[in-house]
This record gives sequence, C-alpha cells and structure tokens, in this order.
Amino acid sequence: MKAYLSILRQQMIGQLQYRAGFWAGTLNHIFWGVARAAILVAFYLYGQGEADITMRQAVSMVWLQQVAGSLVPGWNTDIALYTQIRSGDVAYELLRPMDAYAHWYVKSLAGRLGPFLLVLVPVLGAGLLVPEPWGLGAPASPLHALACLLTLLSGVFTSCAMILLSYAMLLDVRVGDAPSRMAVTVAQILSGLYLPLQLWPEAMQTFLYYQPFAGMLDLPVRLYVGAQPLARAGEIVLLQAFWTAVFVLAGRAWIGRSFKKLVIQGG
Amino acid sequence: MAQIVLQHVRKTYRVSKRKPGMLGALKGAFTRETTQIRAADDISFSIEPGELVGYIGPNGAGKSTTVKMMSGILVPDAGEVRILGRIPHKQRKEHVSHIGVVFGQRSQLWWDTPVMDSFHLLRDIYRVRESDFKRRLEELTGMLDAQALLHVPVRQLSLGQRMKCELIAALLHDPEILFLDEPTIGLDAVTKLNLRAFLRAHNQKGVTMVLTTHDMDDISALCSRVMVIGKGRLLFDGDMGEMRRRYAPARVIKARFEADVAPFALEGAQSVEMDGRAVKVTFLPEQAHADALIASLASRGSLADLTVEDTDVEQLVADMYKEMDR
Amino acid sequence: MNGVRLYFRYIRLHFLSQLQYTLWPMALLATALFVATDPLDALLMFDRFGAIGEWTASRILLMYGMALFAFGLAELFARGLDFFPQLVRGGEFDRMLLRPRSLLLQSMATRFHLNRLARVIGGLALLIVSLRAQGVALGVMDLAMLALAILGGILFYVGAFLLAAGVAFFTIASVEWVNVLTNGSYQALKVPPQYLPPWLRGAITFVFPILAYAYYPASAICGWGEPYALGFAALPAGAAFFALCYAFWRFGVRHYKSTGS
Repeated sequence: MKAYLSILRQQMIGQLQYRAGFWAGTLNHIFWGVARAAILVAFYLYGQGEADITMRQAVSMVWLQQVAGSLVPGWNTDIALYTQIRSGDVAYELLRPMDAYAHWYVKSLAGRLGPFLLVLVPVLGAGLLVPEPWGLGAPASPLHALACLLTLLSGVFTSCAMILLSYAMLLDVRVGDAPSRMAVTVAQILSGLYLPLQLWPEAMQTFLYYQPFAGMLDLPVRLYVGAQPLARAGEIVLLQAFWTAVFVLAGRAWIGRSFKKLVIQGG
Repeated sequence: MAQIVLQHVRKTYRVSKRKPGMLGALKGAFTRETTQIRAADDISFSIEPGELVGYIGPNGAGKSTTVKMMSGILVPDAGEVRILGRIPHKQRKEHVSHIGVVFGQRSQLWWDTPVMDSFHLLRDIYRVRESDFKRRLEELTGMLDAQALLHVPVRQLSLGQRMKCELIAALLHDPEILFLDEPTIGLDAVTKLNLRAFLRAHNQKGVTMVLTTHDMDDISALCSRVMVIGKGRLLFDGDMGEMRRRYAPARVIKARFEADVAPFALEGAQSVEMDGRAVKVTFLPEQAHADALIASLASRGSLADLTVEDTDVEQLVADMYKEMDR
Repeated sequence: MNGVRLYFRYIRLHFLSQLQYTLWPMALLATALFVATDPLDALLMFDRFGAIGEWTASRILLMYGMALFAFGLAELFARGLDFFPQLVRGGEFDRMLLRPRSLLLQSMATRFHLNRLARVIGGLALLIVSLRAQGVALGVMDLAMLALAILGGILFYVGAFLLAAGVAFFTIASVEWVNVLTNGSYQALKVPPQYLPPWLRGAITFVFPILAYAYYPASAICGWGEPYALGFAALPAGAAFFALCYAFWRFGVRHYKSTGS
C-alpha cells in the first residue's frame, strides 16, 4: 500500500514539473469555457427550442466540464504509459513485485488527479469572475457543490477503471491503437464532455443516465447546478460503483490473459 | 593548411536546479535556480587533413559540446571555429554537405523501412549524383560486408549491423571530415574489430576523423593523436606516446620463476613486488633499461614466463580524470 | 532534387511504412470518430433549438466545413510540426541541422499520418453537402475565391503550427495552448458571427482571422450580404500570419543554436 502511495506522490510531482505547460493548459481551459458558454448562450437566446436545463445551468455545467475534464478518460496525460505499452516494454512490469493492474491503476489515478488539482483553483476562479451570462454561476447550495465534488472524486475510480480497460485493448489487439482510441473517444462523448447530456435528444435521456460514462462527469456536475436533486446523489454513487466494478473485472481478466500470452510467447 | 581550427572557443550553459519532493516541485513552478557550467573554456586546437584524432574526457567534460560546435549545431559564446575555411553555424548548408556525423546512441535511419530506402532518401537529401551514389554504396557495403543488410528493415537489425549501416549512411555523400560520437558502444568484440579496420582503411583514403569515445581500445588501435578534455579545458593534445610519458611513464615487467626465490631488490627499479613465484617490477624507462633489468632477473633464477607492459591505458586515463577532480 | 520533390519522397517513405501496419483503415475510422465529435455539440443544439435567426445548420456547416477542410490539409502536410517538442528533445532536430536542406521542409516532412485524411474528407464532404443544401450555383469567380480561401486557411493553420513549434525551442512544456488558436478558431464558427458577444467577435476578426477565410468567402459565394470583395482577403491575411509565425520560428532556431539542448 505504501508503495502505491509513493507512486501516486511521485507521479503528481512529475506533473508539477512543467511550469509553462501549467499556465498554457489553464489558459486553454479558460478559453474553452468562455467559447463554449458563448455558443450555448447564442443558441438559448436566439434559437427556438426548449431544454430541461436553463441557460444559466447549462453554462455553469460547461465551465465545470473544463474544470473537471481531466478526470475523464483521455490521451494527453497518460502518454508515457501508453507509449510504454505500444513499444512492448510491458515485460518490465512482470519483473516488479507488484500487481501490474494495481500499479497502472494508481498511475492512472495520479494522471487524472494531478492536472485536476492544478487547474481547479485557476479555472474555477476565472469562471466565477467572467460576467453573466457566460460565467460560472453559484451552486444551487454549498451542499450541492460538496456533493458535486465528492461524486466527481468517486467518478475518477470509474474513469481509471475504464482507462485500464482501454490499456487491455492496447495490449491485446496488436493491430494498432485504433480500437482503444475509439473507446476513449466514445467515453468522452458519453460523459458529456462535449455537450451536457441533458441537451441531447429527449428520446436518449434514460439511456444517457444509466450508461457507464455519465457518472464520470455529467451526473456529478448536474448536482452542482441542481439539475439533479441532492437525494439522487446516493443513487449516482451506486451507479458509479457498479460500472467501476464491471470495468475493473473486465480489465483485470483481459490484462491477465494478455500477460499470460506474453509470458508464453515471449515479449 | 589546417582543416579544422578552433581558437579560444568558449561555451557556458545555464542549468536549472530544483529541490526534490512536493514542496520543491511547487516552488519550482514559480521560481528557478540556475548554475553555470563551463562546457568549453578557452579551447584551441587545429587538425590537418587526413588525421585520425581521439577526443576523450569524463562524462560532462564538454566533448559533445565541442563536437556540436564543430558540426554547426551549436554557436560558441566566444572564439572562432573554422572548418574547411567556413564558420559552421553561419554557413550551415554548405558546411554539413562536407561532413558526416555518426552518433553511437542515436540513429539517423528510418525505422520501419528497409535500409536501402533510407539510403535513397539520403542520396536525394545530399543531392548525390546517381552514378556517384552507386559507386560509393558498392564500395562502402563491400568494405563493411553489408550487402545482405540492404533490404532488411532497420528495426530488425542487430546493433552491430545497424552501426555498419550508420557508417555507410554518414559517408554516402563523400564528406571530407567524419565525426564519430561513441560509435562502438555496446558492440561485440568482433564487430568492434571490423569497424576499427574500416575506419583505419577509410582514414587512409584521406578522410579526416574525430573520434569521441570512452573505449580506450578504440583509441589505442586507431589514434596516433589524442586530445583530453576535462571540465571544459583542453588538458592534453599530442600523441599517445607523449601522453604516456607525461602521465604514466612507468613500465611493468611481469615474470614467474620456476622455483622459489629469496626476496631481492633490483637496481634502477621503482618497485619489486613478489607473490609466491610471480614478480612484478615497476620502472621508469629514463632511469633503467628493460634489458638490463631482465638480465638482472634472469640471474636470480630460471624464468618460466616474462612480459613487458606499459601502464594500462585505462588506468592512465582514470588517473588523469582523478587529477582533474582535485 | 528540389525541395518539393524531396518532400514527397519523405511522404512516400512514411506511406510505405504505415501500410505495413494492417488494419490502418481502422485507424482512419478512429480518427473519423474523433473528428465527428467536433460538430457534435452544434448539430445536437441545432436539432433542439432549430435555427438561429436565418442561420440554418447548413449555413453554419458550410463555414465549419471550409475551416475543417483547410485545417485537415494543413495537418496532413505539416504534421511533423505537431511533434516538434519531441523532435527537439529526442535529438532529431540536431540531425536535421546536419542536413543541407531547409529546416522547415524537414520538420514538416518528419511525420505523415494517413488517418489525418479523415478531417480532409470530412471537411470537403460538409462543404459540398452544405452548398448543395443551400442550392448555391458556383460561378468560376466563386470557385476561384473558394480555392483561394482554402489556401489562405491552410497558410493560417500551418502558421499556427509553426508558432507552437517555435515555442518548443524555449520551453520543454507541451504546446496545448496552440489548440486555442487552431481548434478554438473554428469552434467559434459554430455560431453566426453576429450572434457572438462583441469581444469574441473582435477576437476572431483580429486575433485569428478565421472570418477572413471562412465567413467572408462563404458569404460572398452564397450571397449572405457581406461585400463580395472581402472574400478575397483570405489569402493575403493567411500569408501575412504565416510570415510572422515563420519569423518567430527562425528566431527560435537561432536561440536553439546558441543555447544547445
């Protein structure tokens, strides 16, 4: 356990090394927050249509997406591990007295949490400073904000479990990284990263609520704006836990099989 | 007319330091502490066409900095570098057309495709005429025995095979000067011998070579002239013999007696060490002659075995490096 | 062998080496999926909210398609610049300095990813479909303007790539922020310019001239009301931006040569 904590710590220190990258990434997120907000505002104000969430809610959600975007599966932060798997250096993993799955899981957690903690304050701050209607609004209540934060953190576990599953794909399907990339893209789309799920067509809403990726970003963010009542928070956590379990079991099984093949066939 | 001339060349780097741990990393996000490293401190030398010069020094001494300045990749802070009459970094394209560079640890070949494809692309990059290209390729692959490698993808080559192809690649455009940075690193003994033979033969044809290496056997086998650099300064520039005379002049006679012999001293020797029947005599050539000492030894008893050696070159260089640290 | 021929030699080499990997159509598909995420939010919003004023989806998609097409082509040919930080750090740039050829050419040619065709095809398709949907007939002048606008767009994007690559000489950080210029630039095209808040509209007019190569040419061809002549501003604007970025990049090269890696 101590080994894992120190890996986590080491990875996060590594994230902090890139000074200019930190500022650049932050500005990037702030810009996207503003741009996406502006687009939504234009539609709400000048279009003819209705939605379950108000404009203020949608805009706030878009900002929270920028703040918490790194918690969702993606490619940028895990690039080191990804290239390691691509190049076939996984044999080294077998030489370590550690569970490879757990090792990668912890690295993945750090890869999510590191950037998140870094951009949390600046982007949140910027969002609160941007004037209406393009800025991040106040939460429905402090309790709502807390619930959002907690469910975001519990969602990271689901996120990482899914990432590990995509690594399993990388390991196994030696025809390139395409299936893995597609899986990650689908995860990002369905987590609401590109558009809050409640703005998607009505007919899809039930499906969108229960699918595994909603809990990674959209559902927690709904809590902040009050688009989902606090009472539902428990249900959200249960959903996340369910999908985490599914991904972990599938991931472990798949990776285990791949390692066995590796050992038999040689690297 | 010297081909390579360096005069009072200086180069200083700024390196940033950061404290370890979380706090250090956070601090590092806002400030930066730097120290200065003198990679080249008033370096001057000149190399004539056709020389094969060895360039040695401990890690971080400034070898690769000098080589980079000679290639034109790096601009000196002060002083002048002139190669074939040109200033490398000012006339980059003309300059690099006349030099070849081999990095032992980095490849310039394209990874996934057969070696020949890389050679064709290099021919186009360096604008080599087709007839010249064919001739050079045949000549070089012949000398290195690399014909079979031409159609193999680079990633499938062993290190030794790859180095052969790197050498060919660097020489395709018929450069007058060849810079080699650790070319024999990680190679097996046989390949090293082949490579050295090739370099010697090619040098005989008139190609000037500057060889940077840690492998002292390379230096012994190939270079009559050696330059030693330490902490950015040129400590020695001359031939191996002179280096030995100055830094490790002692020679050693190792012998073994056929029967036990009583301890003795030898006139003129620096030291006499005995270990059972084996004896090791250290002496300075200016103080005693090897044959006189051998005769002296032989008079003490029948000798089963006898060799005369110089101080191990590795040892010599290690001692020099130790001197630098002081 | 002149520069352009050499460049295509490089491309051929990459092409051959990538065909070695079976199932590269899959990679194309994966990129296509990724590229599809981009207009996704606009499409879904149009589905829910209908048109914005007289701005139907097809109008937006025309501008967006032009930008995507230009970006795709820029990416296709100057892909190597995206990897510039790795090139510098890994020592590959040193090797380029040792070759008697244009550094820019070598940098651009150093990578070529076939799957980037996805954006090119996607952009072209959107362009054609949206022109059809609006029932626009294209005269010779219109076609010329379209071609010039795309060219201007390509220059603009390659310039942005150069800018990001130039930064790699000064810092080891990633160059994410260039996404603001490139991706962000055509994000703003999802909403008609008149409906954007003034400060954002100002930014996209002066800071990144996307209006020049997407909105004004599109307006000219389809007759949306802007002056026709403005449609020709695309190429000069793009060329000017490129020239600035190239100057910065060369400055970066000089800096690299004087500080080493």
